[in-house]
Amino acid sequence: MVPKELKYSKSHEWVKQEGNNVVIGITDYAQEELGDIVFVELPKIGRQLKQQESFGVAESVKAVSDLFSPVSGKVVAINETVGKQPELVNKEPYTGGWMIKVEIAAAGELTGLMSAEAYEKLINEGSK
Amino acid sequence: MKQTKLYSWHQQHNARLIEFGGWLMPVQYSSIIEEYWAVRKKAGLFDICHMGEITVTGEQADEFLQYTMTNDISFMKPGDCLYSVMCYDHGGIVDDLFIYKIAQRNYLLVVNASNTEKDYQHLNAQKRNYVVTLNNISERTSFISLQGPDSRSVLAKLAGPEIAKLDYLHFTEGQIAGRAVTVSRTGYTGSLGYEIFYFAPAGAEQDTTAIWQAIIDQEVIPCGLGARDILRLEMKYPLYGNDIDQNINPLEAGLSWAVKMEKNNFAGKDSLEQVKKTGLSHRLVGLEMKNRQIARHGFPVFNQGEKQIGQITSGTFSPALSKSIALGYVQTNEAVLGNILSVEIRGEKCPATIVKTPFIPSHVRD
Repeated sequence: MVPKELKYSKSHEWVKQEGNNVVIGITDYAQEELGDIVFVELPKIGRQLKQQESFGVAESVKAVSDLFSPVSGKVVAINETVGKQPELVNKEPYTGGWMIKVEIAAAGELTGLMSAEAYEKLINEGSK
Repeated sequence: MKQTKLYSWHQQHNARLIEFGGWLMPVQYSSIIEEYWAVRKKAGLFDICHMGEITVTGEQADEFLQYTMTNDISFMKPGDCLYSVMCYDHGGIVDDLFIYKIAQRNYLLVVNASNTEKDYQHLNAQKRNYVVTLNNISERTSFISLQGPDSRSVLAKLAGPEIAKLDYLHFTEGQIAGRAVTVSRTGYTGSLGYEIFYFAPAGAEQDTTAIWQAIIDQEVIPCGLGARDILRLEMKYPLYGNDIDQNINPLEAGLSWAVKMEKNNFAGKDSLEQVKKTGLSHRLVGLEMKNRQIARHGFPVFNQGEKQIGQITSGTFSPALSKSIALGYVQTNEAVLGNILSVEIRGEKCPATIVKTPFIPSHVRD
């Protein structure tokens, strides 16, 4: 499941543009690889992130995975619900399981992200 | 890497496979937590063919086991199962295992997969003058575990109501899917459950799969090692290589109930007596974490004075408690119920309270 309208990073985050902000979460492929997520740690609102900087962790019974920001900018919102119900990331990775909203600092970074087609190709190669 | 006789079945059912004790084993089929709940609320089925089976027979089988094992086998009757530890002379643990008494002077040992070869060699080295014959029959033994509150009714349907009346820690013979099997009321989950042996002739994949499939067809959920690890941790059942090993003695591991010091003589007895005299330096405790981060093997444990006083050996997220739980060794003076310690997780000190174990009530005798 790779929604067409989103952009993707190599580290399996998705990005959805909303004006000057982007919403960031992890892909269906990423949640499937991690398995049942039991803990999500998110940054404080106001934190400045650089592209590829770790903004938190998602922990499953099996493993811990860093979450990387696909863009630079300021964190303007976090999804507090996934803190209490981390399983939302497994159930609704692209909707209810979103993680943070970032005010974009460098719009050019968005063009460097992958399209749905390119991301689909990446995960298909990865699973072979 | 070795494959069990159910390998093809696992592949056909989208199991995610991992290396465990030299075997390629399913860690999950669907979701670890869903499989966990199948066992706690209904019934789940585990492939545990990787476990080792060693037979001990001969004129002095009783004396031999009474010497090599820490538990007292003299009370065992045919059809009984007994948990025991096997120690080195220095008191460290060779393995923990189940002893099955098949008949007079005829026993089956069920040992950890990763220890099978080591145990077999250790037992052979201990044979000395004992008139006893050892056989490692792991290769031709299939072993699966049916666990959960519905396991009794499932077993009754497949093997008849008599078998389903087995008491905890007993075993008997029966038939499932037309194959002769041995069924014991045992498990590694803390739920009501049964374990099923099929002593197969070489290359009998289809028989093991037929038994497995017959059970699955009773709406039983296939479960992997991921769920199994949570289930055993909630019970504080130790896992060799994580919570116990050759450098840990059974007393500090909380297994003194399986060590009968009043026995005449057994391997490790002198060392354990010495340990008792000087007192334990640390003990295995159960910890409940304040937050949801998982305290994993090797993470350091601190007291309120910020001094490191122990280390985590296993940790997971308990779905029943909706909390992270862990096992770890802490200094004896800190090993007090209710004591609040902290575990360092990714640079952060996370509060952890020593709690009563098992973490949730056991249902093995239901």
